[in-house]
Amino acid sequence: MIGLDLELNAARLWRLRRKHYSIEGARCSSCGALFYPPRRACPHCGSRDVALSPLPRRGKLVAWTPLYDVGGNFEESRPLYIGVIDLGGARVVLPLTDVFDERELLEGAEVELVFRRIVEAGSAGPIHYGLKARIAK
Amino acid sequence: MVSYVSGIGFTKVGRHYELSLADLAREAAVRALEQAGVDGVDALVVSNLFADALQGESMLGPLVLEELGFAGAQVLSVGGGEASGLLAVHVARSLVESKMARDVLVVGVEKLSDASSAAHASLLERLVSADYEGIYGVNLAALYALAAAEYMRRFSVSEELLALWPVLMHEHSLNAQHGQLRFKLTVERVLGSEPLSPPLRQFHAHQLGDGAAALLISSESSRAPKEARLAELLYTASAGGPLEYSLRKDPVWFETVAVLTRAMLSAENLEPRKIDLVEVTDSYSIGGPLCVEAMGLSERGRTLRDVAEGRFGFGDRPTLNVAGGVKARGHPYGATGVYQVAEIVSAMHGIYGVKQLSGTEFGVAVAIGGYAAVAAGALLRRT
Repeated sequence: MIGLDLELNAARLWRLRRKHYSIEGARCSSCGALFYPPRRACPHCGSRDVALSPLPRRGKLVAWTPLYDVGGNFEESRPLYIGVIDLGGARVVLPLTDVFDERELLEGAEVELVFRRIVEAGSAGPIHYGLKARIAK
Repeated sequence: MVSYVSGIGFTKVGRHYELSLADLAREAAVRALEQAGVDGVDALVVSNLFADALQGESMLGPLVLEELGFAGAQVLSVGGGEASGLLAVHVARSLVESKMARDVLVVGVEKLSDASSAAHASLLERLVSADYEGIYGVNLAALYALAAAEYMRRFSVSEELLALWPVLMHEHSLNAQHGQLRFKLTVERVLGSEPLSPPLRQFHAHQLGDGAAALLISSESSRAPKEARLAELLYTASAGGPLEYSLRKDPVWFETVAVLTRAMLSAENLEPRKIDLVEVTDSYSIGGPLCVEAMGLSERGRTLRDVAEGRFGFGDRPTLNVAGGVKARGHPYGATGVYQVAEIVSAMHGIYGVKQLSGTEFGVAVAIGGYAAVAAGALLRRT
């Protein structure tokens, strides 16, 4: 810990449980766009007439990067693989896990979401779990 | 109603271990005031990102105010990521044109040398969506890396072609004295540098540096004499868009920059090709082409090919990032947008160590914050 990392207190992580333990997008009733994260106004047409919409747990890999320039909470995960994935038409940015061979990370490869440890606040702080993506088995 | 840039001051960008935030801000501010020949302002607008996190100072406005002896003046801080410096200019012009002030001092200051590179990577998690990106370890460098990957695939841009951006910026760093990295760079050196977040490498990124830049923005009834006017601040604007990378309709199109540019150019009925000097926030190299394309200066996917064909160099219209941009001049975040304006105006006149671009009339500065979630800009005309 270097003191500049994002604050990970228990109340904040509790607030985030629904957002991170499942994957929900939102659909705009005006223009039909499906998007993630589920903001309460449509990023495309501005309508606030949007409704939560569960996203599929399988999708396709669109792009990825191995992030070496990681923050203090992620030093042990370097490189942290980060992907853009398409889940039923919504684009989602999530960490990729179980990357044993970068050559498997092909554009269009099928991915699935799995429940994993996301971050822990130092050795004594809370451990936060959520979804990551991996190449589908 | 007209506003002018009547004074300019900036420090060298670099690791000023011996100088504090207040020292840096004061140095830039006093130069701007002395050049304008004034010793008093109605308002101070301060721009900074990380003094709170790095130096433990959340009251930068009053701190700078007391160093300058301007007690009683209006003081405010503006924030919008790395666009903050130009947002501060936007606010200053608003104060002048609404007659809330005759003279406004804009000071952008940042001191990143207090951060280790790991600490800096943590700070980059604050320039994205905290709950949906930062908490997963996704930081701003990662978003630009994803953008570079998507852009390169869609427009068939090779790593060699992308490397032309930092090469051009380093070439331009030699046009000015104040940049952080003033040396030429080769494509081979870019491609041989350490991976940062591939396809991005170390030489696509800025180095951590400190710096301060100041502008005196004034009205017709300024305390400064008419002769002090260096440029007309014809227009300023800002535009916001979605924060998360995933919410962009097109991830490699900066809609905020497009909206901003239209607002600025249409206010003066100008075509993009009439602009002599352009400054963009070329974060992680790919930010440069994405700004250039959203501004209508290159076709989509063509910027780097245009650079390969010799476009945007010193003397071309537009000359892009005359002092080397984020890449080579450096990126003291809160100050960057202020440097951009200072460099355009300095190049118009050939002052403060910036090489003169002769026959210039118009300049446009565009700064973006986060993954272009905020854009702010200024349109200038030489006086």
